[in-house]
Amino acid sequence: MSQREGTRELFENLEGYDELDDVDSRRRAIRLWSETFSEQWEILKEDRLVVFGAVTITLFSLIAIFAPFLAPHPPTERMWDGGMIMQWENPLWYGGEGGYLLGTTAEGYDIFSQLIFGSRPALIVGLSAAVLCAGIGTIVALVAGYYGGRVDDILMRIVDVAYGLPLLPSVILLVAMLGPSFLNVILAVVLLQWRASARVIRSQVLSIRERPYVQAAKVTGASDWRIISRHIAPNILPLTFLYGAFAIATGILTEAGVSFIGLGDPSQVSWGTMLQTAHTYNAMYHQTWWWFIPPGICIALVVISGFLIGRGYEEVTNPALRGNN
Amino acid sequence: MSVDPDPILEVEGLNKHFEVNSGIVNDLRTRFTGAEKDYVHAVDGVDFELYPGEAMGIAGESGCGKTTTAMTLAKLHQPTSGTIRFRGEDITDLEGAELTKFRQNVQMIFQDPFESLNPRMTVYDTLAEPLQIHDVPNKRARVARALEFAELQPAEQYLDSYPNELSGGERQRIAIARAIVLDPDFIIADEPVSMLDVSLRAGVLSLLERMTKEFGLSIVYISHDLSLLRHMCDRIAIMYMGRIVEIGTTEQIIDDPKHPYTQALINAVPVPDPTTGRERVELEGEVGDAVHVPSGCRFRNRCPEIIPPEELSIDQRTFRGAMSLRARVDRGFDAESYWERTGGDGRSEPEEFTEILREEFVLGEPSRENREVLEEAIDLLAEGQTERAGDLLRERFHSVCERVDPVAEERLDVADDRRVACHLYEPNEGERGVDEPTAGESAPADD
Ligand code: SF4
Repeated sequence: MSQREGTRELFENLEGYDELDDVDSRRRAIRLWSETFSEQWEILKEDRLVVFGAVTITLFSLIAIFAPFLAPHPPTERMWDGGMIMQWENPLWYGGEGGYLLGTTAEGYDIFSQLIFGSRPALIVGLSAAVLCAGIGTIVALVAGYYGGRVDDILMRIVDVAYGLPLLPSVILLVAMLGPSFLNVILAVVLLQWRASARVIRSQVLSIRERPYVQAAKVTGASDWRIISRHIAPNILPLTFLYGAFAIATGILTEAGVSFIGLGDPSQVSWGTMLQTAHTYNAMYHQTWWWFIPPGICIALVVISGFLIGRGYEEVTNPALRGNN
Repeated sequence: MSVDPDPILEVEGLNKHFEVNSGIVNDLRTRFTGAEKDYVHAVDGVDFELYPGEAMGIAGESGCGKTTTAMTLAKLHQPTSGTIRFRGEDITDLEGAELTKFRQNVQMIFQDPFESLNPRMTVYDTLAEPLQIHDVPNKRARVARALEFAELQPAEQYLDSYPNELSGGERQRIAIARAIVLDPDFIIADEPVSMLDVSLRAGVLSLLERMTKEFGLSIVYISHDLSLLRHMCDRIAIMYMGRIVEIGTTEQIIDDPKHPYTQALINAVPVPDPTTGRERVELEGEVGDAVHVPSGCRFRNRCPEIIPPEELSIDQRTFRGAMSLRARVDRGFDAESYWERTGGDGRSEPEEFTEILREEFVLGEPSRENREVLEEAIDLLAEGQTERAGDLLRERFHSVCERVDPVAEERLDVADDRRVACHLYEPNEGERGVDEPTAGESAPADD
């Protein structure tokens, strides 16, 4: 075996310091992702609409976190007793008494306080729907796209079925069946929304699976798990974030819709339930617009912000879209 | 060449067919309608062996199956049939731990250095990954040595880089370092420099040469570029439509090609096509489609030397013209396109129609009888009697090349140990090809 000498020589007398490797690779991973994100942020912050969306969402998150300190009253405390039902207090700048910034509801709740506390369910539903939808969609996409064949066929037919269901009616049906609770709303949104991320990310996985660097990993003997977790998943993560951003918006919109028709969590004040009670008490007829306009604006702001961020991020992940505006 | 007489790699009857349109819906449809499934015959009966320390080149136009062969050798595709033996051991159906062990000995270098490195892994992670998988100690030192061997110095400076921070040449060197870091015995290099800037090619090629020489590696180069293979290889195999049509030493193939296809490849001045970066061989006719493989010799539709029947006296050009007219008619003659070219209204210009066909297909200096048959067939086509025209042509113009599949074997009238798949040369011990009826037509009884 004289011909093998060359190789042996090259790898002779090696001194190892393998222990460093793990620490190093973590450090490198952190560096890569922080570089990626700061690079993406550099692009994103050029887009004023994205900045607007980010500021709005941050603002509402702060409001949700510090709600107890910001709200002048607890959201479900009646401001005066004495059984008055079809009567409310006007806002203080509209000749109202008692100094309520946005007046009270017909049931005697402080509208401004309800508005502030209403941000909590909206953001919780939005964020958990986003994390779960993007997460489940990504996992399904990885499994279907990587293994292909029967597994892919079956999973994608399930996605097709999920696509056949209209979002809001199905959520209403599910929540009506499962009972009106906060968790069930989240569950219903997730059950119906993972489909979009699953389908798009899968096609991305299909293309990455054929890339030479994945083939190269296979040739060196990498296991399926190693290929999925180290070669494919990191390269689709931006898409996962993208679908997460869109899912925030749909989640919030769906929660508001479900609450508005009275299937929201009865123990929680949300913007949707505010609209629902305003509707029940004929606020429109009584022209008490300060009751139903503010929650409407809040919903619109948060939802639009989610879409704006998603749209901006889409341009970052898909350079072909960049430079259109 | 080599001291060791046992081949490191033996490939026998290797086939890789891909199903066209797979998936549940199509499965059901084919089951329901009873239609035959279509297969792309990407690799269709490849035999060769590789000796320790040998460099072999596989050449051919794009789509000839050379890359699929490479991927199958690297166990990236499971062969449809055939066997691959590595050091005498059948590795065709290896799985699990044994496959992993095989993988330690075989590596691949890919064409595109921008795509063959994971953009989210540093150079160190990319090179250390094979070592982690096979649990090889002293990773950092090994990676550094491999990088230095690939002339990336100082290695430390590259360890923490990401691929996007490096040039194409540096990336391909890293891909080479990854291939040697496990100390393999056999490497497959698929167009290793074709995506690189011309100025960088020589450097990477000399690195590859040093790698094979110093390590005593066996290597298979896949390339469309014969001039590259000529410098790098001891032997060359020429592939056409999934088959090896000629295989021999580099001098034999380059200086004295025997197969008409090899001759065409070597004589062709490569015309760079700027849109694809590929180079196409200038040959008349189309590359056949690998789904409906032609009967007999796969090169016959483009072969300038297709063999006329013995009893027919005809010059080569006339015969080729007649055969290509026949091929048109057999495939369902598209009369409309010729009628359109007459410029007349519908079929108002039969004179013009026959004139165009004659110009295209009656070539060379045909004898009176041959001209008469051809012209009669063209007249029949003008009358719309495609069937009868076909019968007439088939009766007179046919070839052993379309009936008998030539075997790649040593030929009595070709010196030395080269193998050629062509009827022009004397078969070794009687004709071993399979006599098969040509597709969609009845083979004439004679010959
Ligand atoms: S067998 Fe016939 S068609 Fe094929 S290459 Fe030889 S001469 Fe040409």
